[in-house]
Amino acid sequence: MSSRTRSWIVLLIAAFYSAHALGQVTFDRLLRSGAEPQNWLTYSGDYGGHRFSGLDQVNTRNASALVAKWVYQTAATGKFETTPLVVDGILYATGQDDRAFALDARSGRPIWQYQRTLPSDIRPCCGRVNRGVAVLGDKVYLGTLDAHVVALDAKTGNVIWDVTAADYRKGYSFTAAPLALKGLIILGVSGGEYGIRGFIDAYDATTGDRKWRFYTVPGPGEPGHETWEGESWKVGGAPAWMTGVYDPATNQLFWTTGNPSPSNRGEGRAGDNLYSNSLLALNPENGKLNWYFQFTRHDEHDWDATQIPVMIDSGDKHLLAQANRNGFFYVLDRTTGRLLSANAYSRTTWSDGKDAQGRPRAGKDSSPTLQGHTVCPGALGATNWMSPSFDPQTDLFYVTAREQCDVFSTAPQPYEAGHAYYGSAYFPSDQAEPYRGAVRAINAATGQVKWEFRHVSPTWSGVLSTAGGLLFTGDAEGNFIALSAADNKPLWHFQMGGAVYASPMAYAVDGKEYIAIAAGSSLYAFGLP
Amino acid sequence: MPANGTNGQGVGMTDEEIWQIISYLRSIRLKAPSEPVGNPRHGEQLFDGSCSSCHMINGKGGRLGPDLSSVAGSRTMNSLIESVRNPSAHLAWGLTEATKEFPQEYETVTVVSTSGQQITGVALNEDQFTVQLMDISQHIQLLEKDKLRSFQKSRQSLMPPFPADRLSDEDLRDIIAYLESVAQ
Repeated sequence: MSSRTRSWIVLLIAAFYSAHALGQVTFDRLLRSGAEPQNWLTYSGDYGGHRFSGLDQVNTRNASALVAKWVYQTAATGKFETTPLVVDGILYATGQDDRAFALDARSGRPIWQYQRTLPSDIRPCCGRVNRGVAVLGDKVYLGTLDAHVVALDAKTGNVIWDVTAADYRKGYSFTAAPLALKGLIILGVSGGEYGIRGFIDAYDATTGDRKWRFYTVPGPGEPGHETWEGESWKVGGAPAWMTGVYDPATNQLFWTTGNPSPSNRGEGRAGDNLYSNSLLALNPENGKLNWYFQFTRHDEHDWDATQIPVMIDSGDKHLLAQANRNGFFYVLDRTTGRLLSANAYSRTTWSDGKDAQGRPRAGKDSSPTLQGHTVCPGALGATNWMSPSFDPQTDLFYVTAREQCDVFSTAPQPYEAGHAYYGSAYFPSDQAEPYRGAVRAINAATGQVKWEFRHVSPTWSGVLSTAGGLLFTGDAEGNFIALSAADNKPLWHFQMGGAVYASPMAYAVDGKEYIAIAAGSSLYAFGLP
Repeated sequence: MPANGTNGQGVGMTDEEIWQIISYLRSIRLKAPSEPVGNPRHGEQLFDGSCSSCHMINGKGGRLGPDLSSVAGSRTMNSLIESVRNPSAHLAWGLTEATKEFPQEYETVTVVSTSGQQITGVALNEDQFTVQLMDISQHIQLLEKDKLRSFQKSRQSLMPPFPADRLSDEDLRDIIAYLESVAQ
């Protein structure tokens, strides 16, 4: 079948589903999101975390003809980290300072806007950012910087319900897009720089009632509590500040967690510090823990493990792969949580071997010191929250890598509620190469890097692969770039005028494919002329 | 920590905390016992004789290196000395873009065009596809990388080092005293 014929079939199927299910986003539609590639129904595009679009109208043969179709400006300052969702021609996204908006996805013209009135004393660690919404039924959901969960009417942006999850004055906030399941809205808290006690919440999608909460730092009497020294668990951090993935086959929710607090000082919190820097397999019905896997024990380098985990099926193997901030690419059996492999995909100096489970083990000299010493990767990691992508056509896992090393130092710091709680400082190392970046394609089966596309400087852009054989990435210099997904050949680029702090997505309306990305203070959509 | 987008730690601080740090840094600079006292008039003569071909002060001088009109007000004494003695140790920062994490550095770039012309200069800015140069004749060159025969970057500064046998400690103190005088 020619690619052109396949494109038409995909778009006809897309048009059928669009007419069939207009308006309401059901759990069934979310489960079968791959059947309607014209829509982008959840943060990573599907429950598996793939950030892969089944659209192929834009492909390796015509990508060089891509043009900007529209631009939407938020007119706000700060990092614009959203991944839009698209439902039947309407685009839903968030922006800086907890704004949300709905646009005509063909033209970028606004349909409604929501602007939260934030208290003046909120405590976002890393910018007044928000990464997106969830949709379910006729509502749009977001978490806010003042630690509320809000449901908006999808047609008007009116507030349907608004519930308080935690006290923002103590450093709790929400920045990640929620995940919608059957009747539930699930999201994890941010605030690992403030000595919070991390949690993952599930809310009734209709009423906003909280159905369950899983504390990522176990309390007295709970398994894992013994991995914290004294009272350190009370301010143990382990936020859950990215969106999880869901495996319908085993009805397991996979959610990742961030650094223990204080982030760069292990003294005073001796132990593994569960469940910081871990992958959690939860029962979505009740929030009970099935199993966990901890990537970095007793972390002292701020290496949150919150990168999107990606479900990969290979024959009878049901895998979960993650390119971790600590520089290793992990592959797990997602049924049991057993580690299958861990290979470095970036420069790492902190590990001197592997433990009995095969986990990279910290070397004796890797801890921060009073005087400071150089460790790779640096505090911002070998990658960070920007999304990876898995392309089933190439069987390659794509990740944005940051090559940087930092000098880590540490000093005692008392906890004070609502104040930054690092116990540390870090700064660029003179002894290492200048910071740089790359997109790397990893063979998921072997963990080996197949190719890389170098960026001039490290980027905060995620990546998107498509059925058109393309891989989209952005850079800190403001370029949006299309590469051939099979190799690293650049096919097209566009200068957007602002650095990218977001992950791209794709959708189609009226048979026309668009690729969207946020950059600077604007949201861009590209398509064929 | 998700992402601070800065070149070091400082996230999560209140404005008050940031100003406390700034005040502290300013205080240690002013108290620095090694701060030299030189002859700014002699320093100006030395600057005009050997530095101003590439560096501008208050609108006079060259364009290849950073403008030094206010450099003494924002850098430590040791940093100023190092910049003269060993300019490649830490390349100066150039253009800073509002949404970009890292500023452009004064990297040396050498390209060969398709016609075989070699151009050497300082990068004013660069991305994956283009480079904007100030060449050694102080002309701006706007270049597309895929149209070049070769493109090479170096962290070896175009500014030559000035060791003590080329510029005495006393003369260096005088130049810095001049920079101090114009920065006030």
